[in-house]
Amino acid sequence: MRPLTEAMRAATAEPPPTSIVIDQIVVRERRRRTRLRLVAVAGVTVVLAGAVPALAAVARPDPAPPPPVAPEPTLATPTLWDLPHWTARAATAAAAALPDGTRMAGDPTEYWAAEFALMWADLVHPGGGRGQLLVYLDLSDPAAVRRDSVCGQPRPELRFSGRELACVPIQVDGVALRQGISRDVPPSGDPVSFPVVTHYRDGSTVHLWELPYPHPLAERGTELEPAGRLVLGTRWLAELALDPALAASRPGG
Amino acid sequence: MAAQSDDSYREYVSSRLDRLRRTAYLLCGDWHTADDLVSTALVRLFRHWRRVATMEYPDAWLRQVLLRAWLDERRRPWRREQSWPEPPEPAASQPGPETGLDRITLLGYLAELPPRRRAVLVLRYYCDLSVEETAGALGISPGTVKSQTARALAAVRARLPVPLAGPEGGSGRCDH
Repeated sequence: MRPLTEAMRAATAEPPPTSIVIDQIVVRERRRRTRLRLVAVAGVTVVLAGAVPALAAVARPDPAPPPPVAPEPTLATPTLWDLPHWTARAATAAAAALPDGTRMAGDPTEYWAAEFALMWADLVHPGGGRGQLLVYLDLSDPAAVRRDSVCGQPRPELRFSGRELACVPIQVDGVALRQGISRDVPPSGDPVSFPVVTHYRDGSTVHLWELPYPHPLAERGTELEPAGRLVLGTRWLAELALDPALAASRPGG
Repeated sequence: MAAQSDDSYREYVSSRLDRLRRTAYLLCGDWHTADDLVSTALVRLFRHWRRVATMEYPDAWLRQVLLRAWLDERRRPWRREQSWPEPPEPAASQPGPETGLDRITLLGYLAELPPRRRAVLVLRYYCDLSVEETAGALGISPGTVKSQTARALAAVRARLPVPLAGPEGGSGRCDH
């Protein structure tokens, strides 16, 4: 035996009791292995739970694009302007209600502005105070399309044939159009204008024009209920909103 | 299946634990550290037991794990030793008349050696491995084993008042 080997064996001849317990190692490693498996299963479950819907969404064919909210408006599209008897009746009725000097001139768009202002004037308190004018066109509800009912009050001076118009809910590809303006009415004398904007369901807007306030017609108005609501049911209003060419022709549009 | 594997592991480790601790003690010079090293090696052995159990020489695999555990331990910051030109304290015992080495002196000389040279001496003179086996266990070339052995022996001889006798026959293999 080599001396160095002998010395090494002598140096390790009397080892102290060991602290190593083999069973403890086995139990500890078994627990660790079980824990790792549980974590792995949980991780795979979480990944699959997130991945399966994502893969399904990827594998699913692209849905058909949503139908356009509004058709591409062109002047060739038949509008109420093409219906002379409606225009004539509306202009006649409006002219009868408007004071002298108001331009009508048979221009239906001007008529609309004047008629709109008239209704607005009926709702705004002319002597000041604060209120809110909301013109809201909800054509999805045929029952609401009643020209002769404004805030529940009859409008004898603009007596259209409400039944006719009420039967014409405007929908484009099944999607109803909404138009509205809303503005706090300041005290009398403070000029303000109401932006008339058509909002489409797809988020786009068409700015029609600014309605000035105070308006000469407002002086003949009646009491306005705070946050009054006016429901318009005129088809031509909706079609005007559809037609950006007409809208662009409006002052401030 | 798992129970059989555990039983075979227990049987194998029980038969090697004593030798394994002695080897670790010669490497690190401290029984507590030796137990830590052996525990680390046994945990790794358990995790790879299915594969190791089918090996032709599982002892070599376990020895290599033990060596790497010790070398890794040596690299840890809290294990770094500060070297001094002279030992702070002289050896407590004098060399014996026969071999010139006793336990404390041998451990002191081994502790002064670099880790790899110490491992070479332990593998070659305690585990009685060949040059090639030592090279395989340490992951170095046989030439490096020879040179490291020669330098380690020269360092030990230089500290001994009585020269070491030359290599004699084998001492039996280190069966762990």
